[in-house]
Formats: sequence, C-alpha cells, structure tokens
Amino acid sequence: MTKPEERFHTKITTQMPDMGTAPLPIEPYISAEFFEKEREKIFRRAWLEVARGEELPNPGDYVVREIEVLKTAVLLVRGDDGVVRGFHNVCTHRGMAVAICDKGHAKGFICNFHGWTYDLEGRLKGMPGEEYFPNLDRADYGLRPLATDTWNGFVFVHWEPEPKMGLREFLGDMATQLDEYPFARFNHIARYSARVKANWKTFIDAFHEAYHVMMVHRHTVPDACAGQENPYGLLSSARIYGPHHSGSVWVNPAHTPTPSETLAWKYGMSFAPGDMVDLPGLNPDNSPNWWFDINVFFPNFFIDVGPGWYFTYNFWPVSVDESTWEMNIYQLDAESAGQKFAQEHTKVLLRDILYEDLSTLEFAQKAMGSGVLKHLPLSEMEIAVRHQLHTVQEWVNRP
Amino acid sequence: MSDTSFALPEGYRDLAWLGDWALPTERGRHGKRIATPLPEIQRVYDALLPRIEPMIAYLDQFPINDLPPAEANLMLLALVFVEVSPSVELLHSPTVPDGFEPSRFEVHF
Repeated sequence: MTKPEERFHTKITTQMPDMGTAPLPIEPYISAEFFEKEREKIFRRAWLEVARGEELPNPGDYVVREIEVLKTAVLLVRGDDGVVRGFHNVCTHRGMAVAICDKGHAKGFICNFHGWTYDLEGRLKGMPGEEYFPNLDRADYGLRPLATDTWNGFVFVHWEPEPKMGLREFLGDMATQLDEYPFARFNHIARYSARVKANWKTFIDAFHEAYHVMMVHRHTVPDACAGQENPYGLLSSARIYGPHHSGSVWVNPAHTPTPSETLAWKYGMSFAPGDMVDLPGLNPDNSPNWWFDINVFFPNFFIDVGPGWYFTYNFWPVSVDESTWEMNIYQLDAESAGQKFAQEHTKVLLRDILYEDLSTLEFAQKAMGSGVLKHLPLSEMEIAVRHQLHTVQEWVNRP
Repeated sequence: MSDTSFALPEGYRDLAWLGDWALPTERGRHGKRIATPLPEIQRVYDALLPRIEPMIAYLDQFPINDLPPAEANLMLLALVFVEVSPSVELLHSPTVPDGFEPSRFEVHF
C-alpha cells in the first residue's frame, strides 16, 4: 500500500540517527538479567527526576521518595542556604530511616532508633553516648548523599555522589527547548498513580507515539490527532537530543468538540483540542496544526506541554515485569469561575484518557513473557519507541 | 426531591437535589460518578448543561478564591458537570469502557 503523503514523517526521519529498521527484540522487556543491567547501567548512572522545587518552598521542608529501582528512599531537603539536597534516608549508625513521614518540615533529623541527629545539610550533629564510640569521627558519618541538582524547578538526583556529567549537560538540548517555558508560574492541580504488571519500557512505549490514539482512545479523543488529512496520527515533527527526544502531536482541525469541550474553550484552556496559545518552548517546529509536545527525558520522565497546561509522567521500574507510574498536572492560576471550569475539564478528560492508555500494558507484557511473540515490528510512526530501546541498549552495553 | 441543607444562590435552588454530588474534591466526584448508573448520570448532565453559561457568568461577579458558601456550592455543581460530561458525551458509561481497572487507578486529590 502506498503512503498517502510524506510531509509528516519525512520531517521526523531526517533528524534520526541510524537506529536500523529491524523489528525490536523481546528479551529486553522480559529478561530479569537485562533488568539488573538496566538498574546498574541506566538507573544508577542517569539523572532522575524526583520532585518539583515548589514541593519544598522553605528551608527545612523535606519530602521522601521511595525509589524501588535504586533500592533506596531519597530524602530531599531544602537547607538554610536555600539549596535542595538529596540523601539516602538512612541513619549511618544502623540503617533506620531518619525521616519517617513522606513530607514535612524539620530543623534537622533525629533517628528514632538510637537518637543520632543530623542537620539539614546532612552533617552528623549528635550521638547519645558519643564517648562510647572511641574511634569514630563524626565527619565520616553524615547522611549519605546523592548528587542533586535542579533545572527549571525540576529536582533531579543521581545515584553517584559525584557524577561524571552534570545535570544540565546530561539534559542537553532537550532542556534548551524548554528553558524559557514558565514552569514556575503553574499550579499543581492533579496527581494520579498506578502500579502495573508491565516492564517500564512497555509502559513508556505506550506514551510516545500517536499511532495508538485512534484505537486506544476510540471512546475519548478518537479524532483529535487523526483525521482525513492524517489518518494514522503521524506526528507533525520530532527531535532527537542524544538519549532524549521530543515529538509534536498534530491536531485535527476537523475535530468536532463536545458540548463540554466547547464550554471549556469558551472560558479557558482544555486538554481537548482548541485554540493555540503562545508560550515560549511550545511547538518548536512551528507546526500549523499543533496540539502539544511530548518531551521525553531519558530514562523515565516526560514533560508534555500544551496550551496553558503541562503534565509530567514518572515511570519507575519495580522489577522486570512491574512498574509504578505517576502523573502530575499543572495549570496557570484560575482567575475566574470559567477558568476553573476549563481547568477541571483538562484534568477530567486527561484522567479518563489515561484509563485507556493503561489498558493495553498488562496484555502486551503477558504476551511477550509467553514466548508467543519473537519480536516487535515497528512502523516509522513509532520512532520514539525505537529510539528509547536503542538508547537503553547503548547504555546497558557500556563498560 | 430536594435537600434544603444544600445552600444555593437564588435562581439555582431548584438544583439542590444535586447536593450529594457536590463533593469538594475531584477524587470524591469521580468516585461518585463511577458508582452511579448511567441514567442517573445523564439526569445530572441534562439538568446542568443549560445552566452552565448563566452559572459561570453569575459566579464571575465574585472573587474566585473567596466565594461565599452558596456560590461555592454552585461552583462545585459546575465541576460536577465536568465530571459527568465524559460519561454522557463520550463513554456512554460511568467508567471508561475497556479501560484500566478503576480500583487500581489512584486519584490523589
């Protein structure tokens, strides 16, 4: 069958490094041995997004993030100097957690096991009965740090306390594309999460192509990014930035809005396709029919930006066939009842769309595990899926 | 059927029967939707659809972050309309057909 038109995907493929065209192997999605390599070579060597800086606005504010793939919990705390630092949430005496709550405000941390105390910068400040530890130097027993840095309000940690590559260098031009986007002006309006019996890549791969939209989203937004002009929902443009990538989703100008969508767009901005809103960092290729950008930060973090909203996904591996997922939605301040109505529309529609997105994962994972499939044939439309696995393999095969 | 304990501004008191839906969080409103049969959801939608534009115009006379109690309830009814709208307009079901199991999908707030 001949392709109807070249104008969508040719723009994409010309920017691609050579990643081959062969079907994808199944093994990386089902092998426990491969998963252990991913843990060591990817998750312990990449910068990982764990929070927004607004979650800890003041010195002493802290949050704890359980990161199963790192087999640790990270304690993020803002110091008196305003800097956010990350530590393993582990007392250096005998391993009890020093922060028991998921979040809070503290002047320092005291271990509930034997009462060792630490300041906001992780220094060991006190040990009951210090005279009975004759050869111990307090300076050697501060909280164990992870490298921690912030880009545009997003807090990232790195397993290695002194990584070879800094955060900004690691994010590269993926960050440059979004440097001017005003993330700090947005409010956090929703959080959704789920635990799914699927490999983390099976999970991610369901979110960075639009080929699935007409089918998976047949109940919610079937005609939003596919239509007569672009029947399979080809992206309008895409960019590769080293291990990261970014795709712009085409919007169908012939989409028929529902009554609630029409009302939402009368008052504000919705996830439903509607008016164009100009914010720096959006629609980098100036596509005429643009809906939103899917920005994928290797290995497991998405920032999707649209007109007046952005949302993030964090995909966290648990084991080779289990993952957790969290979605956070952010919008500009609602200044009127109408804008509040439109914001509600954005998140409610997105949420129902996500129920659809999560519906395929466990079937696909089970099928791969069964041995029925020997490989996955990919279209050019699923180039991001190919790029993700290409990058995973590259990192896993590094010395 | 009316619930006089659910205060609404004049002109909207006929909607007091929707008081059970006016839950303060998305989590609550969504839980209510997925536990309600479609014909009842349709009734809520039909009652609210023609009222949304006048409601929003009325509410816009007040500061959005400091609505008086009756107006705050009216705002919640506008959000109830948003919650039920996918069921009626798109899904034809309280839950998402063929979707992920709702009990495994956590709506945090």
